[in-house]
Amino acid sequence: MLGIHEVQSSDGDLVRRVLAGDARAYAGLVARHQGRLVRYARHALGNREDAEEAVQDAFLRAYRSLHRCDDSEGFGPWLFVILANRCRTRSAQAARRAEVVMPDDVAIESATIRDGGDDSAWRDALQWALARLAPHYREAFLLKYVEELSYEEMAEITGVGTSALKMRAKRACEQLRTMLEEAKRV
Amino acid sequence: MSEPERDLIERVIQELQRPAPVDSQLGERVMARVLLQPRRPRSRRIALITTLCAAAGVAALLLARPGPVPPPVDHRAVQFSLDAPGASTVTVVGDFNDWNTTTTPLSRARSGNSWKVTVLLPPGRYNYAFVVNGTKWVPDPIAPRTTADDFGAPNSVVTVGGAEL
Amino acid sequence: MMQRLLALGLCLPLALRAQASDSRIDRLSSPLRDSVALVMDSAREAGLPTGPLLQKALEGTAKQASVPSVMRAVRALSDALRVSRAALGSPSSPDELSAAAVALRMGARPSDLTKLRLARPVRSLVVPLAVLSDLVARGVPADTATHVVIALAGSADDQDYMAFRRSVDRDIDLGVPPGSSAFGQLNVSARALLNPAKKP
Repeated sequence: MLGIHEVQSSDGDLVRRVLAGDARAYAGLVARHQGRLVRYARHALGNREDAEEAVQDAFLRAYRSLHRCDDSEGFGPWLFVILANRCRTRSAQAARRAEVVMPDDVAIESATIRDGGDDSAWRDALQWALARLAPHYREAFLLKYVEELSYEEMAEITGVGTSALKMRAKRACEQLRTMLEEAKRV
Repeated sequence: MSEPERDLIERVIQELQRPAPVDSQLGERVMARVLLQPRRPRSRRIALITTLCAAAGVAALLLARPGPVPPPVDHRAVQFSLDAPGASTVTVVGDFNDWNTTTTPLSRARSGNSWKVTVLLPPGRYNYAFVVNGTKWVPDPIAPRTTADDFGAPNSVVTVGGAEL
Repeated sequence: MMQRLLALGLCLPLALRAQASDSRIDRLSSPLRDSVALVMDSAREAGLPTGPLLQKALEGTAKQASVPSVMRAVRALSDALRVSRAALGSPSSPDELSAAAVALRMGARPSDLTKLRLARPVRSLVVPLAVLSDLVARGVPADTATHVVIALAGSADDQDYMAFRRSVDRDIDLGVPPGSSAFGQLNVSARALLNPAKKP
């Protein structure tokens, strides 16, 4: 019913099968990469619905452009670039519509970190702080520290120079720290 | 950066690197859209041929027989069991398998009376029942809760908890 | 809706439009399929999840219910999803809306759902709502069930909710009245959540 099996083929094998006409083989790539993509998109966009929509969109774009994936074994990083760009586009659209992915005052109160080191409240505070970062700072922080990319890889994804990316990542750390300290004091 | 400041950022990174729950249907939604695309070229130089009805037919066929996927991280194993001496077939039917009376058969234990199957389910609340010998609907006698359904046949309920978002 | 379709000159029957997005609709009989597809299209246009509606129709079909009774159930669920979305606000995930619709049908009020969302604005409400419905299914009065679930919302994670529900089940199995069990376990859980070292 759930069709649960272990996928043993490499990314390259699956890409070659898809290009040879076996569209169903793409399901293996989706299953393998969806976790990482959803995690990144959730943090970048701030909510699950937008994240899953961006991930679906990225997978579909990747499928349509699969013949352009130069290196079959490099499918993962190539797909990630597509997703990161989708997230940037969505963040920019949201900013233009003056939509702010930010919890309201009640959430800020509930994000208070109590002295007992309440983990769930701290996680709420973190999500709140992450949502408050400017999109380009958030992107730099996530790509550098969560996805653990090099600045060169980040430059390829974002089109921004490595010096600017280093500055953005540094500012993101500073601002996250300040906001989390602020939440602790409320 | 001072030591406490580094510790805080480390803690942030660890938290953000935790796996995020993924909707169990996301893969199916992606594949439904993928399979509606024009047929993939056999080489990078062959033009695409579009046949909408054929694509919809392929999508319907392939969605009915999902391909191999590894279980998502937030799924939990739930065992369904029923004592049904004398039964020749027992299946479990519910929200998690589209109320299909044949796709999730239970296996008979060696003793012959007990039937079991384990299903991986994402967090949520599921209505279900057993179907014995293809026609007899039976609620789960050991489920702590039943719920009146809309069709005069009470369902049993199982709730699956999840990892924190 | 039908006029709009004709004006656009679409030749695909309604069921095929819904089929393009969910082929499970093919399992429904012909008259039911078109009626369900209409309700699903309305829901889709309203930004509501359509999966639960199809599940309800599939359940009715599996149980060999009549077409009118299946459509009554599907429409009732569609209404509940709309109320859920109004109560929980946007963005709410499809799973949250489905869980809220069940909770409403178990006796929760829309205002309770709103309070729950305000008490837990970032984390998913799927498990809290499922636990609420479970408590009512075991005989806890709906008011009491919503009170305890909201009380826990700010501090409990999903595992805490499941542990709470198991504790209430245990009490009820031992003969404690359901409402008393829920309040009693709320006090136990509240103390434990404020003191993580002593969590049950």
